[in-house]
Amino acid sequence: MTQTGRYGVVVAGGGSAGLAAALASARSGVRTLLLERHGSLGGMATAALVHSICGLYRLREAPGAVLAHRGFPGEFAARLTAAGGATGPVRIGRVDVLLTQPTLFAALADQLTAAEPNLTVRFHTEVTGVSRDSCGRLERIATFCRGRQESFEAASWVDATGDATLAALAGAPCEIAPTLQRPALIFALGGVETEVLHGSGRMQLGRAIAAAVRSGELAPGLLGVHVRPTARCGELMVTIDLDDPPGGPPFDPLSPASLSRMERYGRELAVALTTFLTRERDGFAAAYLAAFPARVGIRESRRIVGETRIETGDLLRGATFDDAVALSTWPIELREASTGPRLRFPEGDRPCEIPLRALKARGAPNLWAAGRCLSSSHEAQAALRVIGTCLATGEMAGLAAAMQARGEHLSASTLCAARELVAGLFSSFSPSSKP
Amino acid sequence: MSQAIPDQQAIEEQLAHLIRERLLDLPDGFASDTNLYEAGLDSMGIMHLLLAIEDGFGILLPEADVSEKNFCTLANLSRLLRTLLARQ
Repeated sequence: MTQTGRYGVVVAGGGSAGLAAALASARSGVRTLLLERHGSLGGMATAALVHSICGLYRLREAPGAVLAHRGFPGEFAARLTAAGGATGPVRIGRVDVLLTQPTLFAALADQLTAAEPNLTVRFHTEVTGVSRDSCGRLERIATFCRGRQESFEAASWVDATGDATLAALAGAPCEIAPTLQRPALIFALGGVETEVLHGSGRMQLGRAIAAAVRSGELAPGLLGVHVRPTARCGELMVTIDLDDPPGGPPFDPLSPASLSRMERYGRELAVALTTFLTRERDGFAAAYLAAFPARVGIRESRRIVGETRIETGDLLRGATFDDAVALSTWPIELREASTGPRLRFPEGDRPCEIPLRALKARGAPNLWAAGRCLSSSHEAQAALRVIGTCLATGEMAGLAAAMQARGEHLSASTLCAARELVAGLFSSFSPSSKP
Repeated sequence: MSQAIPDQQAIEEQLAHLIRERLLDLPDGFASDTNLYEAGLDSMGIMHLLLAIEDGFGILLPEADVSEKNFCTLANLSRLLRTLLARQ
């Protein structure tokens, strides 16, 4: 074992939540370490090629998208747009989203983290063990990169792993739903004459795929496919919501055997679809499979058990909490089957407040969670998991951990005041709309 | 073919049933002129709806009839199905 590194805050997981958490902590002046298993930051938005940020704007009937949060989500959206890596807001059905480019998302994350003198980023690093003191506080972690071990100590910790890995290794209570939302394989198709998808073209493509599935030419797994032209010439992003491969056990996001099956199954479907399209469809003759993701996209996995849990009813009625630190502004978008989403909108499009206690792990006083593994019900998670909300909960978990590391009094109001202060330092990109 | 063509309302009810059962939680107050895309119907859902229509009505919709306008509401989709059923 090499010598131990000491930080104020360690953030495990560099997806959108971990990125926001690490930046918020470091910007508030605390020495911060961000650990990431891949070679770039962004998580689902880069490694899984998710190409839209949902949950950035308030739900509404009337035109004119309004940002849901002051602070980092709006700053990141504005910077990504300015860098040419985002388009929008775009209205889809009755929600507003920001369309993003995974490559420029990763590049911006590099630029923002590199600019922080208090922040160290370690790529290609997995957490393998956690030790706690007699009060349940996390003391130290062991990490692993290509056979080399390191160890780190911190005063406060953020679990932004998406799978509650840090909490689980610490022995803190976790939960996982018996039925999970489907994973998805997203890939890029180049060389497409995308005009053929204008107007009703996308639906007609869907009809052709459905007919080919019915005739046995394509596998039934391809009924979970969805295409979206990007802002770049000739490029389509194709999303395949993955059912369980024929004959296999149900998907388990914590099992390497199950993940391996899904990765291979997703790529097999992608190759079959590309071959079919190039052979059969006008506008696809010169199409080619331009990029596979680094990994299959995960919507739902293990979560922490927090000091409070956001329930389905909270989401649907737009609940308020006395320790609210962020807003959920996305419908419950439950994708349990590869037949598309079941959408449920909250009453009157009201946002649901996210309480600080849902980010605080039960029984581990210096552990915070953010992103898709915060404490919620299975259905509520189908709203809370989106990237815009991950950016918001990440920022607040990072600030909470930083304030705790400095020994400051922690409450929802002191946290929100701290966020205003930090956002003020980056005012050229701070959104002006109030939450 | 001697069988009578179901009326518009019967087709709308059967379609609403297919959609509820196989695709979407239709919101309260859902009506034949409610926008299906806003209720969550996307291109993935449309593939499943096309197959459900084929199973339920015995028709695979011709590609030319698969349009944004025809799938926008239950009323539009039912009108199209009635026309196609009459042609059979």
